[in-house]
Amino acid sequence: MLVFRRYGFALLILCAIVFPFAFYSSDVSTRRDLSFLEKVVYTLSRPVEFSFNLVTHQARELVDSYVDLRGAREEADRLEEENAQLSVRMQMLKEVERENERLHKLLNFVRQVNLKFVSGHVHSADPSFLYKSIRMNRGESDGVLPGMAVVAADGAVGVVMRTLGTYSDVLLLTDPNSNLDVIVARNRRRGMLEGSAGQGMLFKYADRGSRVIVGDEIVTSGLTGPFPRGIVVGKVTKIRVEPDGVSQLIEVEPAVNFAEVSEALILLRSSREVDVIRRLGGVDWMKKLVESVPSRSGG
Amino acid sequence: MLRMRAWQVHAVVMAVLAFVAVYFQAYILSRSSSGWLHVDLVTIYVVYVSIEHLLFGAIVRIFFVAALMHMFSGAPDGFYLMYYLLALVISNLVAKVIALHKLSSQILVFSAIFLLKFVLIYGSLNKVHRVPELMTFVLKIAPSLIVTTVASVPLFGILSRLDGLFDATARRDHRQDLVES
Repeated sequence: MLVFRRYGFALLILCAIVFPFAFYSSDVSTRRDLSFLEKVVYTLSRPVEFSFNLVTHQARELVDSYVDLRGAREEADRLEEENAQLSVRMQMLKEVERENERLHKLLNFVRQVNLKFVSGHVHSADPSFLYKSIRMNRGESDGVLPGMAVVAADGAVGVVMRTLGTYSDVLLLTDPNSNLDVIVARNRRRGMLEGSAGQGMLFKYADRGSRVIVGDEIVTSGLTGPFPRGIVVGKVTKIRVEPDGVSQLIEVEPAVNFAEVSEALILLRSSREVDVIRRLGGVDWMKKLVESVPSRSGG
Repeated sequence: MLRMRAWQVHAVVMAVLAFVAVYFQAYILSRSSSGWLHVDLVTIYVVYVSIEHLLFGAIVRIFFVAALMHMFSGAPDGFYLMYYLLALVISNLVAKVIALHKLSSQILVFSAIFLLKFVLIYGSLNKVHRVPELMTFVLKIAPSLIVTTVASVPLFGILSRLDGLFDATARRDHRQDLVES
């Protein structure tokens, strides 16, 4: 103890100098599992978590019910009218579906499997304010695994980054470490969507000759990653030509307002690549591979 | 009957405060879309603990808070430990040179330590080649930086008063021990 008192601060200064060097020179990313210390801290914090869950959930319910009651009459009238319109449209779409099925049979298309999902509530967000992740109340016990896709009513939300018994952390598409394979809905041109430290996302590595215009809708490609094809991701808001005069910077505004997402669906379908690795190499081999990958990927 | 000493109660209260700060930040503040509500309570707590508490206790609390923050965050492994260690060292070094009880010096030191977090994040984004434009980044972090610096002064005062309560209790414990012996 005396040694610590005498040399403790000097040792601390040494650690504070060496640590950043080690951190920035190594390929560390976020682990999928919590360490022993973190699990202990998490267990200790369960009562606080429970109280926060209860209070925030109740407060949100209270606000929502007040907001719902305001103008409920007008909304009921509007919904009634919309319902009538949708019934007619549905009848028309049934005919289109039958026609679609006939054409699929003719072209020998493989029918897409029905998606299974679990719905969950969003409890909290990343406290760093710059990295973007959310915590949902569904975890391993509900069949959720890292790498699964999360969608909300307005579109794609993100990918499950880590799971524990009853919760899972989801890396949002706007996080600077997120990647997603996407296409432009208008012309089916493929590219990569990356999160950024701002609010939006960047559409990069577009096919050569891709003509992207402001207002274009970006959807998931379904070619790689856990998302099925055609889920709305966002809209192009700004296109800038880089100083090199060759590449362009395409900014995409997310379809989902992440600050207001309170419920989302976790698609119980993991990434296709992960499935192949799991089948060929087994779970242990896959775990080692996942731990060795430097960047977390959504696509 | 189990009678806790003042320092034991103090340790428990500080741990509970750390929990509350992290959970309040994760459950309420970070869910707001406005940057003006992004008060970094946890860093204020860490800076306070670094300056006002004994080194060993401060290190233990910092490890605890770093583990708690990492549990919630998508930041790379070790990021919070690195940042809080640097905050601990810098605030201790500065406290030896500048009188941190002056308002102007408090604001200066706090804003420098809060800014350090964003510098470290910028560096970690640079590492994965996702570095944003500097101006966009500065505009993004400015509200959080300003509001955290402004909030740190009264919060520092509240924490200081709370510690004062435990000092008084410790003195009373000590007197009682003397009487009993």
